[in-house]
Amino acid sequence: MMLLLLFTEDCGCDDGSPTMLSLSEVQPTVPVSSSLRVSRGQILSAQFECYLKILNDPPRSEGDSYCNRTWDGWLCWSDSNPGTAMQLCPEYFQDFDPSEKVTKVCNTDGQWFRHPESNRTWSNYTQCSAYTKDKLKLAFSLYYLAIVGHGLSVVSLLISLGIFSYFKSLSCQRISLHKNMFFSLILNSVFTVIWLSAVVNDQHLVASNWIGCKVLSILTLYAFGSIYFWMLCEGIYLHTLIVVAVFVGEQHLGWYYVLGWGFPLVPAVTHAVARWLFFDDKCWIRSDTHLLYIIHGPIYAALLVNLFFLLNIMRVLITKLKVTHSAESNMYMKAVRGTLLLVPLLGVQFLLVPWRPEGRLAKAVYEFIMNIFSHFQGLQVAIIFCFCNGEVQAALRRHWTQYRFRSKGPFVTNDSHSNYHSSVTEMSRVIVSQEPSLYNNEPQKAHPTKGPCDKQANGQSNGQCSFNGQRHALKSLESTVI
Amino acid sequence: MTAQLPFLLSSLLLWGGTLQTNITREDDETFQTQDQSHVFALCNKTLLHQFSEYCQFDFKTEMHDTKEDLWCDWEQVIRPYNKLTLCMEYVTSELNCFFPNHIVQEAFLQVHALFFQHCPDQHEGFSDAPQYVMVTLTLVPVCLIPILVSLVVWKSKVRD
Repeated sequence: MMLLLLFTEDCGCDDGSPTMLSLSEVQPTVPVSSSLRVSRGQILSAQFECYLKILNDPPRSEGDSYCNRTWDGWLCWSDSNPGTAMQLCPEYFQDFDPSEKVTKVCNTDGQWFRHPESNRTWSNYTQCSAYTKDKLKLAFSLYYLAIVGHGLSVVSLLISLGIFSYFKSLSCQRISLHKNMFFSLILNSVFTVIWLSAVVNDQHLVASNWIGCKVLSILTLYAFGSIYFWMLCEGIYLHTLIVVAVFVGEQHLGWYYVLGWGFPLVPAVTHAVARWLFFDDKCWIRSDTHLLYIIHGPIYAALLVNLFFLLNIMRVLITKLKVTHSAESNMYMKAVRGTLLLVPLLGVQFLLVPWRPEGRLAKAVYEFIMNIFSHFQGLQVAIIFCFCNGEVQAALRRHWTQYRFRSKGPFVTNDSHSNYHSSVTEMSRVIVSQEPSLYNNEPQKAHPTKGPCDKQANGQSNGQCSFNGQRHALKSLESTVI
Repeated sequence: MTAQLPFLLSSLLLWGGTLQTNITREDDETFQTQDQSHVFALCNKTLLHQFSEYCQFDFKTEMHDTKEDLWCDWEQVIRPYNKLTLCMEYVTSELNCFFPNHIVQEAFLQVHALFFQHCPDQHEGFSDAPQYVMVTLTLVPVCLIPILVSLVVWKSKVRD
């Protein structure tokens, strides 16, 4: 090292080449902390682009005084008229907020503004980090809220799936639709949590543009879409069950699977291809592209079509209720109400998008509301479709009573359970012959069997409720009392 | 000032330029803030011009050692380009000038004109996809929905 030092001292400074040769040998590699390396790379890349742009952009033709294009060390500024030039803050540093603005003043004499204190040509970057602390606090609380929301969603959905699978008495077509929807919600939550915690949180991973994060982005968008299409399936199912006149005991679910699991692939794959061709940003993390409409458009459409179906069902049921007050119409109404409630619950986040307010506080409140609607979806659905479901509650209660009796003494056997099962299967067998009665609108007010009727409301099979009450009542007494 | 320079450069040699606290570096987050305690009143423009040539010289040597068809490959270029920038930052700061300035800009433009003039603008910022692409690609799946829905309604009620 001393030798080198002497060498440079000897050579003087007029002939720089030897100095520079030795210089290059010891030139530092890019420094210290790794986050610095990311920003260094970003800045160098921006600088490279900028000088190319300065070089290649056509010269300005207007003769007025204007400020020359320049690179200020962080951002590129093109030729500007006197006044204030503005662009979004860069993302080089953790505490830089890319939604804030950088300003650079072009004086009337065609010179860029110089700071009076230092006489240095100066761009105003102060806004980039001015509110970052508060915003970071908000962002972190939103982040944790999202994680908690998805966590609660997954847990409650898994419990619901467990309940639906454990109690065979509950199994029916509408419940299998529920199960699929729950599964798509779980997928969405899992992918979103991985996305938020592993990708969005990790600057280096994003910078490395690893292919896996793009795949994850596709999967997340796919699962997100499939929730809404399973919602649509629920709507169509109820519509076919209640409104479409050709009545069948059971529907073919095959095409529902195509709609629920298959169709969302179309927008997801289209988006991926379009993204790859037109907006191939790192990890596809940016959301400021219109290409996201490829995902959102079909979701809007699904929500609208679903709303149409559900309102039509409501119309039919209400007309029926006005005329007859039939019990099964009431039961169906319950089922439809649940699904109908979900349309605004799951759809409100899309309606709110254009209403993004401007003020800082209003923005924070807005973000919280959006967050709750979009990240607690699973929990909301589990509550409405499972925990608030009368039939599920009844099944749980029965099971609990059974369990208590069993643990108290040996005198209660498994009979009750199997009894119930047999009653359910028996009921399903009878349905087909009984099914048209829903449309007979026989008054059934006196029908005492609320439990099993709930089951119809869940779509166990149509028209069950309508068969002669007595045996039904007996069976249900059998199953509920024990 | 001239006499000082060898010492300055040697300090770069000794500490690799990283220990110098008052060097303006682009990736230093405070470099655009005003309250930095730099005294840049005495910018020696002539010397800066000279030394920017030294920085360029090294860069040019390295670039000429690289195959010409790799000049536009950012992965290949970033390392020497970073060195060039570091050198410029160092020299500028040590000569009590603000970084960047028009001399630095001139130097960079020379380098760019020499090596990168015809590089495609691959690092360009993302301009959004054209409107018609977005509309078409959104409408295609949206139009499929009514078809698929009627298919579901129709097929699901047919009982074998």
